[in-house]
Amino acid sequence: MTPAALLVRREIATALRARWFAAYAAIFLLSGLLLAAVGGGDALIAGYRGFARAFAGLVHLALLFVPLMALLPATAAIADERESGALEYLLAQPVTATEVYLGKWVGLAAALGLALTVGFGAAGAVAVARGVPPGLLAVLFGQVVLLALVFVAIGLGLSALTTSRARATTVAVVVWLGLVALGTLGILIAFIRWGAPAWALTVWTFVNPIEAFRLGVVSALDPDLSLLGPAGARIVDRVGPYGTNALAALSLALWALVPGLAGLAVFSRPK
Amino acid sequence: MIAPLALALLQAAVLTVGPTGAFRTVTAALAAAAPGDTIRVAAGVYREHPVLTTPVVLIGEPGAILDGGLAGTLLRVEAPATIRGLTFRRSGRLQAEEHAGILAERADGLVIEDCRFEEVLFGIYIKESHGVIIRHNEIIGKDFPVALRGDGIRLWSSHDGRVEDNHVARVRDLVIWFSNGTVVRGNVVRDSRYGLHFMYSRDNRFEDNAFLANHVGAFIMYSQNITFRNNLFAAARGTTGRGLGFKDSDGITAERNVLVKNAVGLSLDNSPTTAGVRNAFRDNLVAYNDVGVLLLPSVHSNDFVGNAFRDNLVPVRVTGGGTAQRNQWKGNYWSDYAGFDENRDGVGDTPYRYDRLSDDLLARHDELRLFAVSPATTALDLLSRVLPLLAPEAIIVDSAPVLQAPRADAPPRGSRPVGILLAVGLTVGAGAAAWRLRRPFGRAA
Repeated sequence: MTPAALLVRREIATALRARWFAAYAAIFLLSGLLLAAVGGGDALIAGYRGFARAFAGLVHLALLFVPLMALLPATAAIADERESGALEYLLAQPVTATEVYLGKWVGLAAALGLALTVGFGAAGAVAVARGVPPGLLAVLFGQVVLLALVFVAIGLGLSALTTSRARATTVAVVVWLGLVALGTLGILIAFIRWGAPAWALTVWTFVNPIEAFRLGVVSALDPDLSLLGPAGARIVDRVGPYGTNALAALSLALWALVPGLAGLAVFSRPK
Repeated sequence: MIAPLALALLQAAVLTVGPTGAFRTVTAALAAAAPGDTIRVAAGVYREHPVLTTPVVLIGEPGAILDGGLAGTLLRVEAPATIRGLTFRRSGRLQAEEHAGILAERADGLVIEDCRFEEVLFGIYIKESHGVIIRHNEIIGKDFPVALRGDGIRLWSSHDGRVEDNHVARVRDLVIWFSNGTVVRGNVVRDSRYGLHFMYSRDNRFEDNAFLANHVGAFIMYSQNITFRNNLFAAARGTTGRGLGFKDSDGITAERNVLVKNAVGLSLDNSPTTAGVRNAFRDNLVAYNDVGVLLLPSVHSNDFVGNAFRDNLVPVRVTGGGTAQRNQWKGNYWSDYAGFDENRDGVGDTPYRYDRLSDDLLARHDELRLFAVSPATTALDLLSRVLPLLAPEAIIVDSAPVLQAPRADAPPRGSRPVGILLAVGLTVGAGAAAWRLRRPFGRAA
C-alpha cells in the first residue's frame, strides 16, 4: 500500500470504529424505515400513491440530520488531532500534508456513505415493496449522498481553518443554522418587508445547498415544479426539468468540493 | 299507428357501398338514398368528404375508413341520421375552418356511436342540434402542441344531448357551451387541455367519467344546477393544474368524486354567485393533491360535508391569504387531524383547525411558494406554535371531524422482488463492508 492509501484506510477504520458511525447508521435505519412504513405512501387511491407527505418528511429528515451528522465528525477530524497532538506526530511521518488531508476527506466520505447506505437501503426496500419506483429512489439516494458530501467538505474545511475543535464546531453549527433556516428566513423577510426581487429568491434556492437539494428532490418527484408556484414555472421555463436537476446537482457538487479544497489549501501551506 | 311505421320500414332500402357494392363511394350512396334508408359501407379506405342531408342510417362494417387526406372536414351532417361503426381519419388542420371528423348542424336527434376518429383536428362538432347521442366512440387528436389541436367533442348550443362511454385522448378540450340538460356519463378524457370545458349551460349531469392527466380536469363557468357524481379527476398537473374548478356557478352538487394527485384538487371562484344559493360538496375523496381545495377570498356558502381529505400537502388554501370560514366545513375526515375521540362516537372531540403561518405566507405571496416543504418554512410553523403572538387566523375549522376515512382505500399492490433484494443487499453489503473495514491492518497485527 502506498502511504496515501494507508492513510485513507486508517481514516475509514477510525471513522467506522467511532461510535457515531453505528449511531448514525441506526438512526438512518430506524427513521427511514419508520417513514417508509407509515409515511402515507402506502395507500393506493384510484391507481395513485401518496408520496407527498412521506417525501416531505423524508426531505426534512434528510435536510435536518444528514448535514449535522456529516458536519460533526468532519469538524472534529483535524481539529481533534491537532488538539491531542496526534497531528504533529502524523505529519512527522514521510507523508505530505496533502495526503493526510485527502485521507481524512476520503475516509470520512466513505464512512458516511456506508452509514447512509445501511440506513436508506433498508428503507428503500420497504418503499419499493410499497410501490415506489426504484429509479426514483436511486435519484433521491444519490442526492442525499451528495448532500452528505457537501457537509463533509464544509466541516473539514472549517476544521482545517480554525484552531480548536470548539471553535470549529461552533462555526459549523452557525453555518448549519444559516443554511437550513436563518438564511432563508432572512430572504423571506427581505422579500416581504423590503420588496427584494423575486429572482433573488430563485438564486438563493440554487446557491444554498440545502435549498438546492430540496429543489432537486421536488424536481425528481414533480418535474414541472407546479408545487413551487410561479417561481417554479419560471425555472422550468428557463432551464427545463433536466436543467433544474443539473443545476441543483452542480450547486451541490461545487459545495462538495470548494470548502474542502479551501481547507486543503490552508492545511498544506508550508509552515 | 303501427301500420304506417311497418310500411316505412318495408320501403326502407339498404344501400351498399364498396368494391362489390351498388355504390363505389359514400357520396354516391348518400345522393341516392331516401329518408329512412340504411347505407352499409364495406371495409376499405374511402377518400372523400361526403355531406349527409337525408335522415339515413350510415353503418360502417369493420375496416370501413373515411380518409380526409389531411384536408377539410370528413363528414358534414345536416339531417338527424344515425352513424355507426365508421372510422374517420386524417381531417384538415385549419383552426379557422374548424376541420372535424363529423360536423353536424341542425341535426336534432343525431346518433353517433361506435365510431373511431384518428388524427382529426376536431372530433365530433355539434352545432344547434338537440337531443344528440354520442356514444362509445374513440377520439384521438392530432399529434400537435396542445394550442394547435381542436376539441375532441364540442357541443355548441345543443340541448338535451347525451355523451356516454367515449374515450377521448390527445385533443384540446371537450367543450359543452350554451347547452342545457346534457348528460355526460362514463367517458374517459386524457392527455388533453380541458377534460371538460363548460360554460353558460344549465341542468347538466356528469357521472362516472374519468379525467386523467389533462391540464385541467373539468372547468365549469357561468352555469347553474350542475351535478358531478362518481367522477375521477386525476393528475392535472402544471401551474394551472386543477382537478375540478368552478367559476360563477350556482347550484353545484358534487358527490362521491375522487380528486387525486392534482396540483389543485378543487378550485372555487365566486361560486355560488347568487345570494341565497348554496353549493354542496359531499362524500368526495380529495387526496394527494398539492392543494386540496383552493378558494378565492370572496368565496362563501359552500357546504363541505363528509368529504375525506387525505395527505394533501395543503388541505385548504385561500388565494391571497385569509379564512375560508364563510363556508361550512362539517363532518369531514382530515388525515392530519391530531385530536382524539374519547367517547368513541367516531367524531373527534376537538375541532379540526387548519392554520399554518407558513401556508398563510405562501398564500399571500405567490412567489414564496418556491419555499414549499423547505425547512425554513417548517421552522416558521414551529415558531408560531411556540409564540402564539404569531399564530395566524384559522383557514378552516371543522367542528365535527370524523376519525375514519369514509372510503376504504384499495390495498397496496404486489411487491417488486428485484428492487427489494437490491435494497436489502445494499444494507447488508454496506454493513458487512463497514464491519470488515474497521480492522484495516488485519487480525495478525
